[in-house]
Amino acid sequence: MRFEFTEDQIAWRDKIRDFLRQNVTPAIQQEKRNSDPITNGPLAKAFLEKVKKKGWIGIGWPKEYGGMGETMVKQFIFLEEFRTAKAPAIGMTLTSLAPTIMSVGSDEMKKEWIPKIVDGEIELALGYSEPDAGSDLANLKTEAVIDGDEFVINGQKTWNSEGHVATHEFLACRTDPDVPKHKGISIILVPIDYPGVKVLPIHTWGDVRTNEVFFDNVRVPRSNLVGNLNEGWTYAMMALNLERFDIGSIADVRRLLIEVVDFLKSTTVDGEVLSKNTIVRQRVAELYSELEICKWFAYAAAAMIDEKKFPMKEMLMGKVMGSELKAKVGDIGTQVMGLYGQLRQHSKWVPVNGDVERLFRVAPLFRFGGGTNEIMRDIIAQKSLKLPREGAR
Amino acid sequence: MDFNLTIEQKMIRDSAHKFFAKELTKEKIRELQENNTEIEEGFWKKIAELGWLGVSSSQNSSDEGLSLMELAALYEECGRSLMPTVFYSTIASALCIANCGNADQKTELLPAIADGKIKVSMAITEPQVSHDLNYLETRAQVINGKYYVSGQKLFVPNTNTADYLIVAARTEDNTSDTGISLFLIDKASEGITFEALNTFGLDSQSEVVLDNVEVPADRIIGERGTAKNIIRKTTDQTTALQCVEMVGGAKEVIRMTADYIKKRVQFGRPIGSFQAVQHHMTKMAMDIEGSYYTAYNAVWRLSEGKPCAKEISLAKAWIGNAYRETTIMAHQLHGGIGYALEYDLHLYSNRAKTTGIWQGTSDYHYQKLADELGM
Repeated sequence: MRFEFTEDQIAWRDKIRDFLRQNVTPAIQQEKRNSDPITNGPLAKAFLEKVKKKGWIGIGWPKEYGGMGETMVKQFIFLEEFRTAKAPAIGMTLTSLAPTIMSVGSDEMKKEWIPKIVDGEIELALGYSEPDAGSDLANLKTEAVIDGDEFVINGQKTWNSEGHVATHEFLACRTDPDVPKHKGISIILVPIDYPGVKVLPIHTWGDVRTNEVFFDNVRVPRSNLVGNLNEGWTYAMMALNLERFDIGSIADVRRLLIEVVDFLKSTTVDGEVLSKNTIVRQRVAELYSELEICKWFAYAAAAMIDEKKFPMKEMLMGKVMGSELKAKVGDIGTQVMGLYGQLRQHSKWVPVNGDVERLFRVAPLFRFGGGTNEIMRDIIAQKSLKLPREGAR
Repeated sequence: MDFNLTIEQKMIRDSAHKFFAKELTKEKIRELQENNTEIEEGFWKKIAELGWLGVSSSQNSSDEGLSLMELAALYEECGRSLMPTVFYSTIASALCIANCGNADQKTELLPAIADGKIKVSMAITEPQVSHDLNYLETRAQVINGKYYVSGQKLFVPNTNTADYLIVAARTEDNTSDTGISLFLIDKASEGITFEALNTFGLDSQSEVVLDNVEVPADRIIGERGTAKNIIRKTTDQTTALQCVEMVGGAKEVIRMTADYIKKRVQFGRPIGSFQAVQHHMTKMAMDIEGSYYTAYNAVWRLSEGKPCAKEISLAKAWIGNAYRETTIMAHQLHGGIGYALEYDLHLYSNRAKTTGIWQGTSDYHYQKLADELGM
């Protein structure tokens, strides 16, 4: 056993840290706070250009696509350092959708699309959920009918979080209504500026904008099909697993808790330094412990992937625990601040730049996003503990 | 990052698993606990022959004794099988001597413990002292080059089977860091009396009264005045190892419970297919999976000589709650049968409660952790 990074991994981490120390300015962090977190402002865009110049957008990608072909542990170190530094994030298009296209797309598709994705010319939105297809995703009804060289697409997607910034939808469509529902789904890349596509905003409690997207007789070339016809379910799950990995990372929250501790140490209320209160100490110590434990799920999952094992249990447990911890840190973090805990970002007197109150409002997303924790728990019970599925849902 | 045991560590775990399945049956555990009898010499001899009573005197694997990581692999199986606590108190004493005993003491005592010839137990806590040795009241006076120890010790494990006790006593009146020493005291010495305590975990614990017990000066473990450091070091090791023991016990409880709810049918289907039941099981599994990493992390850091005060406290705090809550939920999922004494579950529930308290409660360790966080 070895519960620490190797020297090579530490050198990699330090290299990223140095870069972030030099390039993540308070102005960039503030720009992120000021905007919808999905939309990158000019400072974030300039920063991500620098990241690209370092060659760091495809750390885990095969070298033939301009990636570094690096291990999962190194990819995870990269993700955690970015989170800890409150740096603008590399989007899902690069972290989870592009790798899916690389592994299942046709040679033509890869040749045409990957360079454009790398250049930022193409950005994808995840077109999965529908009004009647949430946890039961395979129930999706948006249909794509083959007509000559084209698909004709009709239907509606919702909770489409990148719809207003992306160029294309990574769209899950029903292409065969006559087979069991998991087996008639395909993934099609649909340009959002095509006639018949309409994007309407949904504003959320966590300040994150998401969207409803409507498809009315949208015609796209058949060459926009990702991989094989009717195998979209497998591809969607592939990308989802990578997304769950992302949600399970709690490096940003670990930093927030330390910032909360700094606030508690420097604030006196009713004659007592907040950090000396026994109950506050207990709550913070509990959160700290949970954060430390949660990180092992992600590290173990990453290490297992590098050993060519599939860490389903570790990934799912990390997703469930990590997302619930985020909610807890947001909740308890604001509570131990007392009256200060109600202050919103940008207010005078707000502790920790308002990042804790923001977390309180954003965190519910992680519990139901990327697969609800209830479904995750079902899967852990059935796949890892081998409990019977019969009549379970 | 590498979360795999080495081949040697796995071998120890696997052979312990097989050995305990045969030699440490639940019938035997019940008999030992209910009649408060000593574990039979035959069993003790066998584990000595397997090399499981020998600890490495240098904490690396260059000698024949077990390293901390090897002990951890063994402790996981001990927890699963509810190994009688005389094993833990003996290993704790061996670690104490290995950590800080002088060369003569190591040569004399460690092989005798490893061969199963003697058993030793630690007598530290008192009616008013659980963790903070500054409040220790047991005293050792020097008269003509000999020490005379007097005081009252409480919650001393396995005095019935021990041949020697390692007793912490005050050798200076002040509360300086050098005011306390450890004495190796022959249990048969004049002036020692024992009274058994009645714990619901049915492990053996006693009150020990020392009345002017004569101890030769060469029976001080290590050097005079070094007890605080020795105890801190030994407690770190035994706490981290105990965390692994607890993980082993909790894993067994999860296994028992999963087995039961797959077989128990109500409303025409196994109760394990109900979502409410599955989510309870998932919580238990997640708590203990996290416990596994954090317990081994604590042992690993210790064995690598890395700072680990935070890691040990958070492991014990977390696992202290997790093991107990796992057993309580297992009772709920078993319903009536898990409540019946004929079923084995309560043996684990007792151990979970005891281990939750031993070596510091979760509340104690969370406060320690808050200290470590600079709060």
